[in-house]
Amino acid sequence: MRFDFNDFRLRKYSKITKKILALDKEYQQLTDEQLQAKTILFREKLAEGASLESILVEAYATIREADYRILGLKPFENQVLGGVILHYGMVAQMNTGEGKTLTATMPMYLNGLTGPGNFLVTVNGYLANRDAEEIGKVYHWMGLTSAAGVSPDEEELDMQAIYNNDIVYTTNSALGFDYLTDNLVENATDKKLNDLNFALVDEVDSVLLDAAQTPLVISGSPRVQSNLFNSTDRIVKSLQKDKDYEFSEDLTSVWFTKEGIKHLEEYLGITNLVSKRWSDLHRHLVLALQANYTIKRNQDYVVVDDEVLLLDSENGRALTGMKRESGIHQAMEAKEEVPLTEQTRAMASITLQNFFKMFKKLSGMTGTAVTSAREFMDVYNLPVLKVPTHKPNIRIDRPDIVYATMDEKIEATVKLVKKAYEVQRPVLLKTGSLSLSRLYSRVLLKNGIVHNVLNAQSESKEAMIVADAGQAGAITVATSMAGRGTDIKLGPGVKEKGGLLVIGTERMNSRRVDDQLRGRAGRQGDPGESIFLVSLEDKVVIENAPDWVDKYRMRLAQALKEGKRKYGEPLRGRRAKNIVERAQQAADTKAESARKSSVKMDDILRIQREMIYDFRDYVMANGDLGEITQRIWDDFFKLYSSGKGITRDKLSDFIINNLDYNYSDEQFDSKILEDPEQVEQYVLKVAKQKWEDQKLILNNEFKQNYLKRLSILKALDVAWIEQVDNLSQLKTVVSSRSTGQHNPIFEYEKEAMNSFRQMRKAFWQNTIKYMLLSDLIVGKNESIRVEFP
Amino acid sequence: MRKRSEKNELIASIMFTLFMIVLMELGRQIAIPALDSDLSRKALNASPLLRNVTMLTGGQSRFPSLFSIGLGPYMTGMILFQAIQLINVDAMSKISDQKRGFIQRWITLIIAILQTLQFIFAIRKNITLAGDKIFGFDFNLVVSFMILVAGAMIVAWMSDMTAKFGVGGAGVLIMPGIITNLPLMVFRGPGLGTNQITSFSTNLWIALGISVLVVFVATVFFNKAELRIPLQRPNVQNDFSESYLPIRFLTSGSMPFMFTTTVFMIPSYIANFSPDSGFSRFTQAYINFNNPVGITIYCGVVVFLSYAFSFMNLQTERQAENLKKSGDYIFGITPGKDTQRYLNHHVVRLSTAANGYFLVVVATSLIIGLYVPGVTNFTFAYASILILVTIMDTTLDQLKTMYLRTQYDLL
Repeated sequence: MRFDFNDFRLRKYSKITKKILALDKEYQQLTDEQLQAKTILFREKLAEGASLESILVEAYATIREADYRILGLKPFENQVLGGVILHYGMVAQMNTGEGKTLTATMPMYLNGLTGPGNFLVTVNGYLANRDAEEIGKVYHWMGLTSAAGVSPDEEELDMQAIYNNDIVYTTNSALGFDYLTDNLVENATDKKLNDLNFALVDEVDSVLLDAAQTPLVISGSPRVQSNLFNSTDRIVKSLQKDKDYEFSEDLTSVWFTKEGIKHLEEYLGITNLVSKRWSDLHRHLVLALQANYTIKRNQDYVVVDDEVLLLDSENGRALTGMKRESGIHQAMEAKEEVPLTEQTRAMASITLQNFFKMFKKLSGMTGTAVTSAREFMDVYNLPVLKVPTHKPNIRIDRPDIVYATMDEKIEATVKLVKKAYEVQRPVLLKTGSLSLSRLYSRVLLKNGIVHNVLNAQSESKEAMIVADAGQAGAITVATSMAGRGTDIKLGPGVKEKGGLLVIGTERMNSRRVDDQLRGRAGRQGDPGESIFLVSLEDKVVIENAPDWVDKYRMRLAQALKEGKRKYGEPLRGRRAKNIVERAQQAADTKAESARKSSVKMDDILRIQREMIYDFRDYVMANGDLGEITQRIWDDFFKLYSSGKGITRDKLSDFIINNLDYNYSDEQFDSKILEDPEQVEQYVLKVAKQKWEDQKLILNNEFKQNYLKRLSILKALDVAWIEQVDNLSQLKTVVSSRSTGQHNPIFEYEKEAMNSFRQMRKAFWQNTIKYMLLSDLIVGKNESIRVEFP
Repeated sequence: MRKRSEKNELIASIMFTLFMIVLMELGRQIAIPALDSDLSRKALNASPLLRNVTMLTGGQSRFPSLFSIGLGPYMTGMILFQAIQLINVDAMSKISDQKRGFIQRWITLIIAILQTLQFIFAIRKNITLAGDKIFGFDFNLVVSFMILVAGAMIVAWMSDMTAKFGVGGAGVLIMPGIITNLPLMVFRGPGLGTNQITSFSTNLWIALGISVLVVFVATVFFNKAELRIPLQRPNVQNDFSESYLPIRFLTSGSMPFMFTTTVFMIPSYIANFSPDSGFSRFTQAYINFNNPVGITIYCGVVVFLSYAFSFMNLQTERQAENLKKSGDYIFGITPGKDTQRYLNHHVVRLSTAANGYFLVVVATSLIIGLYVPGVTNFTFAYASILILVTIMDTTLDQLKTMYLRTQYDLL
């Protein structure tokens, strides 16, 4: 037998599994009431201080039996094993169709016993609702509470009530956004989330790896709008390729040539475009250039109702509410001649990576994690374990067929689909992007092949189409991630035809995504087949292959012209296959190292965020804020008075703007300017006088505290928004420092500290300002309304 | 609670580094059993090249021990890899980290084997043969060869671990070796020519003390100095921290000094193989510090290596290319070739100035050494100081950042 490290590591969990299975007979004998009573028993044990691990075996046996009685399904051995692994905070690799949904009931039930704060995170809202409804029955029957955290229709939900459930089925973005908004509230009672105890992430690789880089952002606070977007867009559109601007070999970057800059200078009637004087103009020109030539419509974004919507590169779904930063979004809008939206800055942001790290326990399941096991371990400290399949996999994975050109590949693909269509064998055809799926759809129609297209439609409709994709004669065209989480069950008679045929029309940027696609066929020991038809003109090859491939392509075109190569003939030999394989590896590598360096930099953001949010919670929870404000006053006035170059005028300005509008410096003795301590005493005196004025309206401790709390929270939020924005820009700022043999991460941390100090000063200053300069308007029954300056 | 975890992290990495240094020191003290240590000690003393190479790269050549080879193969491997990168940036950037580590390790292994062969060659006469043969080689020979190579690879692994979990990177592992060898350097020099000294006059001691202090202070200062070229970035809107492209004054760092003596001595070493040739006579006459020609050649090597490492560290072509791709630019300079020219200009200017400093440090004492015996050796003390300062600087830099993390506080 081949020695397998995975088997070795599984042994501990297999033993536990055996114990759970051994209880099967005994639990079958229990009446419904006896079974339900177990929940109370477990909870009592936990209250007495028992650990979850100590009741794991019994709890799993209980919920297993409950699954059977309510759903008619009993988790079999492999599912139990998966469930055990999940409880120990690991990633369980389970293939599609192995019943991940049922597996999850076990760890969710066990952790749900501890009360609210347990989440099952699914890929989309449709799945969250579907599972919460179907599986929720079991939990309810067992006396736990559960709900879906996303609304099936657009209706508003009472999130506070939902998060009070023991188990919540939700999506990563819904949960993440709720976390962010929770930290913008003014009263502790407005908070929705309680505890972040346990998160079980479905399709963990796509959430924690593929989507980890995209932060969840709450935008607000507009920036100053520029009016150069439209004019620069027109100028850029008139430029000539290769003369005025050039592309990099991978076509992902574009820049002005020297000649192009000269051309622009002549056109604009200016000299030296790259000087400081014209930097803003140049900035807009660069943005317009990038928006026009590297960002593609229907691939990177779509235009709907005069609005530019970004597309998710994985599943081609429109991302509503997301915007590209730093003006590039406006440049795209100018390109599409739609009204420009306001440039905003982020009010709060968090990456999924950082968000999920906050859970006390994190685990995940997916069909494709083993290839990234090292990264899971490095970044999340999550070991990956492979759960053996229930029935052996008999899917046939064909080697790639490589074509020289895109046209040849498309023709071959259609031929392949046609052949399957004639024998009524179901086909799932995956394309790389939205525009390509439209292209394939057109070509198929032309050939008289009836098919379904999955792109950017509603999730539930997609799920229905995908569920039917296994029926005889069904041809389904989809982008890679569409309809994930829904099984493709084979229709009658399909098995005999060889099962589902999955055709990939190009390799994606990551090996894992391709493996996910293959996994759509051959579920639970069904027959199935997967094949990739690729060409040397695919996106992944163009962007990542070395330079010589370009020449190789040209040679092939030449050979075709000279008749040495037959049109439509696949390329044989290892060489062509290696090109595609290596290009994909290169893309994978790039993505991984980008993720790793952002993890390191985000660590500082995390430290700062945690401290800000902790402080916020503390302020909201604490009754008496006198001590805090006292320290803020002391800190700030000391800092202010130790500053250099304070003159009489500057001091007056400062006092009028921050402490007292009605200040006059008539009685001011200029001598005190020489001694910082006296300056400190002086401003403190002015501030205290003004505070006494405020106290006239705020006539009791409670009201004073109320103003203090509001001032601190408001000042903190204003300062933090600025800081979030700064930190995200800093990443780019420090990227050039490596030329001086500085470690960019150290540089980032230093700059982040500087920026934090500035933020802290602004926070102190604003707190005092809000306390002293807020208008207090007394309303009926002594209520007080605060208007910030 | 949060603060504690950051503090723990700081302490843990310092402890880890110390642990590695201790391990390194231990390994250097473990003698290889098959070799007669007294005799090989003498043989090793007679090979100044070996002593220099190993001292500056964390090895140990007073007697054959587990870590005698030191970090040499690891460091040379890194530099070679960087050189390859310089030649073919495109292909290299597409290699995964894992594969990169793999290639580096292979280069390290090959160099380790070569260095071990050289080491064994130096002590060949003192190896007590066991009589048993493995593949035609003596058992003891094979064992010591294997142990030395394995030791070098363990050191390479330890360096990686220090870089990952400790502070200061691989450099800190070299530090103890350099410090303990400093007195030896001052007395014996690199072992070329007649500058083995047994004692200094009081005046020389004072001169040495003062000059070392001056070099130390000056190097700390120069090591921090850098030219910051402001950058304009269309994709960043941030008024608070500035974007700039820094070029260090000591662009090449201390790398020239780690390798100059080695490069300088290689000709004599090669000449050993044919003692009667003209080449050999030439090296005997000139490759030492007793005559102006030798000093000139030595200084030439410093200058050459300094320029080479400067360009290797900065990779102006790649910098300019990256700037162009991201749309960033330097005010008044067109992106692309012009930017590269501009950067080259600054690199040459700065490294020429840095070379001036190097030459003052190196050549002054060498020239004085022609007339006052013993002063020559000061040069090598200075070189060690230069290396120490740069290593310490990186270490302190890292400690500082880790310390900063514990300093976040709102009140």
